[in-house]
Amino acid sequence: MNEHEPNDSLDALLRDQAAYIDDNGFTRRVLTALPRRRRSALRPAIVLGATALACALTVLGFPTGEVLAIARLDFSAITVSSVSAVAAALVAIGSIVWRAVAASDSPG
Amino acid sequence: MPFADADLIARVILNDDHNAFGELVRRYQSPMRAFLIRMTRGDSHLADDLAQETFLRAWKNLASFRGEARFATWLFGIAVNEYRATLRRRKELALEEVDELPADPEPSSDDGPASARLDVNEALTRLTAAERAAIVLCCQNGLSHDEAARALGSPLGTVKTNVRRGKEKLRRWLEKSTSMLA
Repeated sequence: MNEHEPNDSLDALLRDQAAYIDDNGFTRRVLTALPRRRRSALRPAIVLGATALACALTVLGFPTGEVLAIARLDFSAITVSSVSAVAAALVAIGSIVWRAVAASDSPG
Repeated sequence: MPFADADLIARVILNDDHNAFGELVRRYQSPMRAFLIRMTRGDSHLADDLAQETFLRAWKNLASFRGEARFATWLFGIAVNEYRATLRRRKELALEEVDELPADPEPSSDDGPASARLDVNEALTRLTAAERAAIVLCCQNGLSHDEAARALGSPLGTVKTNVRRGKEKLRRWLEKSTSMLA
C-alpha cells in the first residue's frame, strides 16, 4: 500500500489530471495488426512421431494371412492379436487425419 | 456483467479469441496511452505507436502471463520496455541513465510568464523520466509501489524515492507558479 499523505492536494490534482482517452479506432487498429499466433514447434513433431509409431505398430501387428482374413470379413479368424492390429490401424488412420488437420491449421 | 480479466485472458490463450483480446484492449487502452503520452512528453503519435506495440507484444506473450501480478501491472511493464527500447533505438537516454543526470530542470523566476502558467501537466514533463514514470503509475493509475517497482523493473526503494522526490519537485514548482500568479 502506498503511503499517501492525508488530504494531499497534489495527489488529488494528479488524479484529476488523469483524463480518459477515447478509443477513436485504436482497438480496431490493434486487432487488425494482430499476427496469427505461432503454435508450438513441438506439435508437428509430436504428431509425426505418433503417426510413425502407429504405422509401425500396424505393420508389426498384422501377421501374414490375417490381413486377408479381415479382408474376407471372416470374423471367426479374428484373434486377440488381430484385434490389437485393427486398433493400431485405427490409431494410425486417426493420427494421419489429425496431422492433416494440424497442417491445415498451421500459419501459412 | 463484464468478464473478469482472467476469463478474457483464458479465452485468448485457449481459443485465440480476438473479441476477448479486443475487450482487454478497450479496457486498458486509455491508461496505457495516457502513460505513454506522459513518458514521451506529449508526443501522442509516438505514444500510440508504443501502445500498439505494447498490445501486440501482450498478444504474442499472453501465455507467459502467470497471474502473479495484476494484468495492468504486466501491461505497464511491457509498455515501459517498449518505451525504453524506442529510446535506445533513437540513441537517447534510457530510463536508468536519466536517473543519473545531475541536472534538475527546475523552473526559475527568469522563465517569466510561461513558468507562471505552469500546471501539473507541464510540471510532469520537467521531471526525470524515472520520477515521471513512478508518479504517473502510482498517483494517476493507482498502482502500489510494489506494482510500480515490478512494472518498471526497479527496486522498491528506488520507486519510493522517485515518487517522493518527484512530488517534492511538483509541489515546489506549483507553489512557485501559484505565488507568481498571486
